[in-house]
Amino acid sequence: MCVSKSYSVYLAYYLSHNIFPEGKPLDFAFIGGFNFSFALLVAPFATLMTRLYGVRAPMFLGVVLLPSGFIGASFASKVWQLYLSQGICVGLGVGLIYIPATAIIPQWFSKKRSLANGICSAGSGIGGLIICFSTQAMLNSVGLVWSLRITALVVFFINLVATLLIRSRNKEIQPDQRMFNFRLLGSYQVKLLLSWSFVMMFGYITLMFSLSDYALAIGSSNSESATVAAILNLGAAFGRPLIGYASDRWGRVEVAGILTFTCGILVFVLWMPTTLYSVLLVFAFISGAILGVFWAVSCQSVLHIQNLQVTDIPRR
Amino acid sequence: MRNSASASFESGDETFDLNSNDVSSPPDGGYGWVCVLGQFFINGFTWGVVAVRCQRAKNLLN
Repeated sequence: MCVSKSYSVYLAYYLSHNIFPEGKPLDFAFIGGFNFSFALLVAPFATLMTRLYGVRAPMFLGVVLLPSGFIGASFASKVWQLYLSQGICVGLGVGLIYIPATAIIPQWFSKKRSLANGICSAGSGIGGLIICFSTQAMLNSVGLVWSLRITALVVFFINLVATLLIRSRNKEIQPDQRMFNFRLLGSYQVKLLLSWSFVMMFGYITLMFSLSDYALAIGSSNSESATVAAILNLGAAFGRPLIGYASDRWGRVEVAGILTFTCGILVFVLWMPTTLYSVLLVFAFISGAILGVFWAVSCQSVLHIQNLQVTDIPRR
Repeated sequence: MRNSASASFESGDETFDLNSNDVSSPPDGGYGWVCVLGQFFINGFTWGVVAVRCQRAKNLLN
């Protein structure tokens, strides 16, 4: 999920064209980080809004906030304005759209839940690739200001249509929508699941963020190392639905265990010994596919602790 | 779902029943696939838009 690069396309542009002379590189990194942190921090509020006004209310708010952030950024002339617009506003928008939406799929799917989640999470890889390349092209042709505004427009319409398509089954199942259900933390299964996610994240982040750097380290060019990141994305896009299908069929814990173990082995036998770019590409594709296991398998359990009927949570 | 036969566990004073097969059991398809399509686009055009990959930035900084 973290490999797509639209913001870093802007980041590179801000830095190389000296758009915000008083902004330090660290400022721009923080603004990107704000996207993630505010998207996740808004979760309790999004859940509260869902409970009070239904699942589409927070999503519509996000559909407006997300493009507003980009429009705001197109008018920004100071770094703090960029913090507010492309940092906080965009982050809040993402969280308000994404968090209520994640609770919907498990309401519709039980046996095919991992497959459905896998297909959904493949969207972030594909969307990331599309946005990354189109942003780069727009920056070159129409410039910064209009590429931000066009992005805002496209993002607004696609998310609006997607929000209108989504329908919750809250009326049918009346889920538990407490912001946090602390009692769940007491259960052994949930503790194990959270520990697994925690440990898994070490491997996930390490791979995601260092693979293309490694490409540079073995002497590949910048564009080759960008290709490694793209192949990782592509692997994720193919792998997630497949892993989802396998999990539904052979059990989620079993598939997750076997795949993460395989990935661990591959790190030692494929990644570490190699200094060949081609082998690295193969490794990027396979590990990209395997790493999706976290989103295909665990997300459905972890995220829905917040927003799903309690009787439905600890699916294996 | 494998071995969901008698799956329930207790936590505090609440018991969570893992196989509630009343009206709430998911249809596993139907309009659900439209929701999958919606969620696919949402993932693509929320996370896809913002997600930070610092590669290019790092190249510039170094």
